[in-house]
Amino acid sequence: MNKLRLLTFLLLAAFFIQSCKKDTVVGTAFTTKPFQANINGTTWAPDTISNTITYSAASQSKVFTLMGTKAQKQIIMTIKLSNAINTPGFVLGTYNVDAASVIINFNTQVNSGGQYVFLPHGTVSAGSGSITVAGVDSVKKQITGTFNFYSRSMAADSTITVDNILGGEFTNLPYTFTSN
Amino acid sequence: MYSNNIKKILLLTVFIALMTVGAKAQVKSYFGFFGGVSNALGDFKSTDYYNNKAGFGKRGLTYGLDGAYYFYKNLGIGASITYQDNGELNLTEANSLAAGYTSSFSADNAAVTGTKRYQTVNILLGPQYTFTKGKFLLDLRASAGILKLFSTPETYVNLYDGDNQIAAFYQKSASSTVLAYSGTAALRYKLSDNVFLTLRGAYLSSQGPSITYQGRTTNTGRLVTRQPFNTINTTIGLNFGL
Repeated sequence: MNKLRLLTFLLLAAFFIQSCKKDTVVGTAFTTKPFQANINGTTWAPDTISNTITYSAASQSKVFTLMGTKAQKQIIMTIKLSNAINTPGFVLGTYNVDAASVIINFNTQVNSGGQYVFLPHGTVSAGSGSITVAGVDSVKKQITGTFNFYSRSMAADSTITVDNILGGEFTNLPYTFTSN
Repeated sequence: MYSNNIKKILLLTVFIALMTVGAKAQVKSYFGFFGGVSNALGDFKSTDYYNNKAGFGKRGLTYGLDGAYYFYKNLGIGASITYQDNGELNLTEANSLAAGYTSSFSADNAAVTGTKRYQTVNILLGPQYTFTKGKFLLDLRASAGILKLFSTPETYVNLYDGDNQIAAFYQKSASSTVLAYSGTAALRYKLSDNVFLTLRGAYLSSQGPSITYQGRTTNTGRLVTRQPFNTINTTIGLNFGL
């Protein structure tokens, strides 16, 4: 009888221990794509990318243009250098948005007269962001850098909306170089 | 693979039957209980996202009842009922699955919520042959039976801006009964005429349960359709002669 009691106790104890294990675990992961940003708290990695550096002999200027599009959102960044030289590289540095030679547009896709088009969602004013070009491999034609900015828009009822685009990065992103 | 293992069991059974020739004394029938650890093996243990048979099984607690009835000298028929727990997803594995789904679906990010765990009971029956040497007895058993799954890990996958898969989906927990087979070796030490201390190793294999999904709209990425089940349990217990 004692053996049966011991057996019953052991089995019930083990079952009780096992029954208490009801954990929930949440794992997360973010894209490792070479061009991405955090738009209003959500990771965004464009699936359509255009990345160019263009030299103009006529104006002796060089323009870096990076455009990404995905899920009704589009970011276009442009940096224009004056007195540039005709090489496939680009000057490293931090470029603050000045709405003239350093421009960023945050666009969203909207229905305009039956056509879906990308239009600016607010304005990225001078001083409201920056682009850092941290590395350029002019042989492989790859560019690396970061960016962040905010776009401010005002609705018809004067309600102000601010879109925060933070933690933007482009890593070893291939570009095409054009000289004309 | 599965049929090969069945053949091995049949050959082992024939071997055991042949071994009965020349056996001298009748071995006492017994019953008992055991407890120990269950270790996941092979694909069941694997944590590779890209292996659709990977089960993320763990080491866990096992316990149960065991007995054998000897009907001819050293040859008997043994049976066991075993509960075993083979764990649940941990954070590292959930992160790994999330990374895999993010990549497979070209999503911006993914969240994988893991709930439930491997909890099973197997009931197995098969021929047993026992070698005796002094106070030691070595039992060899090949058995087959059923594996009842009370639950398997369930995952809820939430993708953000994924290709071909907009809604979140579940990989559902399974609670079915499937066939299983086992090979067991147990070393018994005679503490007294009717009490034995037993060290036991039991290999268990099954094709496992079918796995279903809810809300999944594409076969892109990791797709588990059946979860193979392979474990080896090492236990200690007491047996009582009848």
